[in-house]
Amino acid sequence: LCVIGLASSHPLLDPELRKHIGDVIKVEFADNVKNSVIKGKRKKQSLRLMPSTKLCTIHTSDGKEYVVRAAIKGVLMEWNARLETDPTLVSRCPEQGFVAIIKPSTDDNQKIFSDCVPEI
Amino acid sequence: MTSVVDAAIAECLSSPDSKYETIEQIKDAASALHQTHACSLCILRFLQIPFGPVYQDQDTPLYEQLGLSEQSAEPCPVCLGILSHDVARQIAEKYTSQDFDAQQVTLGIEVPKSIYVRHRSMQIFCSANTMTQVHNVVDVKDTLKYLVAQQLANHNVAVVAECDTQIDIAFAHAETARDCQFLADQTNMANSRVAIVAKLTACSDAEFTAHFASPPPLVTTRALVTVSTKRASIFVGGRYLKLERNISQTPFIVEGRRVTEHSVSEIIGNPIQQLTKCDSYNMVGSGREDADVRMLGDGRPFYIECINPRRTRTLDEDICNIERTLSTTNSPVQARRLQVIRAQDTAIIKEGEENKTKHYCALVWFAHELSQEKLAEINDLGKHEIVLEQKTPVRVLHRRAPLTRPRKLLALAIEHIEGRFYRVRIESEAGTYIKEFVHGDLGRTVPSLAGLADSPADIFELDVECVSLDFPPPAI
Repeated sequence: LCVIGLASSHPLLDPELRKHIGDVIKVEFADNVKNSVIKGKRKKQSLRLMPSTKLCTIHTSDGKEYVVRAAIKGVLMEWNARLETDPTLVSRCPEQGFVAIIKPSTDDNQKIFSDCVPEI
Repeated sequence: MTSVVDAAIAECLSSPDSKYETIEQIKDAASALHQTHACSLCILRFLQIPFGPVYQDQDTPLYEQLGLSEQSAEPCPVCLGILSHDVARQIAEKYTSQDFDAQQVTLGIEVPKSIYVRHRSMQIFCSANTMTQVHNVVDVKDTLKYLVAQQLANHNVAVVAECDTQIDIAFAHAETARDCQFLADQTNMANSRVAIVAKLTACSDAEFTAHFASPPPLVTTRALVTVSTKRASIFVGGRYLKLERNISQTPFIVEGRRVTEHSVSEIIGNPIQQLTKCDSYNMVGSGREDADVRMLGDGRPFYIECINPRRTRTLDEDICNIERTLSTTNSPVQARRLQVIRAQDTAIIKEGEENKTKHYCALVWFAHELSQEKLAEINDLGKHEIVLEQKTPVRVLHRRAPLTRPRKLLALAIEHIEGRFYRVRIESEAGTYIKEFVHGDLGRTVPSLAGLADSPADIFELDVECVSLDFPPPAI
């Protein structure tokens, strides 16, 4: 399974940059994510995701918006509802502030990350 | 010199079931039956001659003793060749080749449906041409059982109505498969045996002979026999200890390769399999621990079911030896209280898995060293029950349903070892994910030890110290 969250190089995780872009005030998950059905061992009805699928939009106090996409092809296992009640978690504590958990549609690591780049 | 047959006939005459009164009558009847090409054993059956030496394999063929002309080589149209000493020998041999250490065996016999039809056909012939009480004729299955029992007696095996060892004998006869068709056509039920037999009873003699010849038509092939043997499973119960890490409970194979070299089930199961000479075994434990977690203390209760065991008697000493050998050779997996148990004793294993508490000891690392106050705070909290809300851990989310499970920690104690390493002891409800309680699983288990200590934490080593289910009874 893959846990999707903000990369350490993301502007929102840089305290200096946050002075210019503002603090996180809201994390808005896409409708199809919020309405998804994740039930049972096989999770058959779960939402199918492409790398470009929008998971959520992060709004800052300065009105900036950052979209977080799935980045891999797979099926949605969980979206982090805690971000709805505590949005600053996404920048304050990236681990507990993860966005979503996705089950990749293939076991081949090369194929899973074909649209991704490694962190510098 | 009285032949075997003469003795049998004498016995038959004295039986109250038989309408025969003289030897002549019986010999006439035998002659009439012989005309139908029925085999000697079927003739004996339809003369109502009871079981005895006359049914057994003898030097002088029966037809000769009865003063009849030689038997044709064609199979008997009544029993289709089922009643044969060779067949009985074949069945007995199939059984003895398995080398079961059983003194008793049960026979299950399945005959082709045409047997019932031909039996009725012969009954009709008998009523018309002999004095036999056709409803008291010796049954064909009972006769085969008698023949097989005689063969097995040579090997000191007795045939009984019910026991743990079974021989399944099935006969098939393609040539007469259509015999019962006229009955099946009358019922709208399937070709089932029960339906056919019921229809036969309901059918009158006249109706019967309109569709099927009496005496039964001749056949050219014998029925083919399939013999299989099986024995009730034997269960060996005990408690296992896992003293080293990287051992899974059962063989862990992914994409054809073993993930862990050893498994608890193989280390304990293989010697048991060799001892009981069973076809295969499965191990059922009262819960399980990860491959990298040790199982200490008095071990975890389990049982191993041995499928189709060849040896089930006087196992006690050898089972004790298995336990002792594992211990004296310092095997990474050992057994305690290993003993043969009854099938009904196995239920408690699964019940205990849900209800009983477990004691753990963990080696935990914290990102920040904890102050004395913090340690005291956690220990105080740990003296009371702590209720956790655990979402299905990420590491098992691919194969378990996404749920939030409430679980109780009954006791929690933490002590400093050195640097950022601490020893944590936990007593928890069955089904609690301990590793997730320590690191918090991305905040999906609350409360967590990391949360309580206000510092990221991770678990380095985990041991199960006690599984509190009393099973099996302690060894004598």
